[in-house]
Amino acid sequence: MKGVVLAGGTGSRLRPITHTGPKQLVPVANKPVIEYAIDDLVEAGITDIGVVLGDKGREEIQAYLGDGSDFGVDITYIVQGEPLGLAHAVGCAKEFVGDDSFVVYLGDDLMREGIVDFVADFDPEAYAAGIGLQRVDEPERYGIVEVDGVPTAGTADPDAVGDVVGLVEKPDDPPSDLALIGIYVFTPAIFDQIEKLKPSWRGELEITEAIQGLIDDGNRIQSHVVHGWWKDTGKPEDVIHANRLVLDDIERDVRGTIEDGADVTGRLELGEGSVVEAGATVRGPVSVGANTTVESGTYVGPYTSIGDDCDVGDVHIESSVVIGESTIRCDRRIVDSVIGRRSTITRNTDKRPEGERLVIGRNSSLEL
Amino acid sequence: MRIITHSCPDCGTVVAGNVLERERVLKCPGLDCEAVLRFTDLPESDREHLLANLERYRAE
Repeated sequence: MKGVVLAGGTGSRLRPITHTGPKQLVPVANKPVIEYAIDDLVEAGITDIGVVLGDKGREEIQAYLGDGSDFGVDITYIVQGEPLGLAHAVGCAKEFVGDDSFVVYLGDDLMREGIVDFVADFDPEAYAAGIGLQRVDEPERYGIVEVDGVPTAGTADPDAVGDVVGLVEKPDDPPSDLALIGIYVFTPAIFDQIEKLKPSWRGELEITEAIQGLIDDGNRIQSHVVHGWWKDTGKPEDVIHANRLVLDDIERDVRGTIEDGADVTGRLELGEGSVVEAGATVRGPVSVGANTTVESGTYVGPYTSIGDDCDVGDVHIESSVVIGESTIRCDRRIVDSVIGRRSTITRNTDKRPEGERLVIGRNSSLEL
Repeated sequence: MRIITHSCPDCGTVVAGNVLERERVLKCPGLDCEAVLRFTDLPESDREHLLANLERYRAE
């Protein structure tokens, strides 16, 4: 089986962070989101991976992933160009996958429990595709599937749902509470369906319509209910939430220096060359990259990730993501924030006239 | 919708036909690949199809 990671898209919902890089490289707990997808594929035994790239951030993703050898995989790049939809992205992988079945993984998705069971359960002899699903509380907000044979409450195996027999986007009257989570396994039969598609009202080829085409032609679609959280990281609040979810599972891993007199409790990842100075306070779970200094007088609170090459001083920061190469030295409380690379936040208390001094790029968002 | 692609003969990087049509001539986007890819590398029928359906292959 092969893997296809979809890494196109414009990242418009993550601006201004994505003005300077693709959304797939935004770090969660100091690891780019796309690397979680690669890791999940490797864990499922898939090392032949096609990465579908759009126009946005193509070179940055290639520079990060390289030929895949650093991650134990062999990567083929597939340049989609214009964002013409998920089905177009998948269709561009036809030459790459050949006659194999293949997993499609959205490059800005995170799944806590990986895809090992999902891949192992798929039977390409019986099914044309498999769809990862999860039960949701508000199905009218999601792409929802109709399945045959939903077990009732109290059934021995509530996840033993039947085949997928229909898909509907954000239904007013949901046929189930099983939502599409952006993980699929396909046989090459999907390509014939993609060829039949016409662009939707938003000008894209929709993968859900291709799957519906498989169903309409009499193919069976396997359902697979995924446990544990899954998270799309398309918006800043999603990045903060995903960071929280991942940090919940980290182990203590201190490769840098915690000076005597630093107050560190909870789980801390501290990269090589990084220092938590005497007089600094860290309350885990916290992840700090390499060559970063947490200065005396600083408070780094739970669910914070600070990237490489940062100086953080005299500030209270928690539940935030600092991507890297930034200086934050101000007597302020920073919470629930995403701070882009090479940012500078400093105090202004000694300057006249008094006031906030801002240099803000397009699509920035501040709450003062 | 017909999806047209072309694989670089040197490195195997796959490039969508809409990219070749848009750029006409480009250095292969594969890592460290020096090959030059051209719209004319596509079979004539593919080129004709792309040109006849340009609006479908361009994002709004």
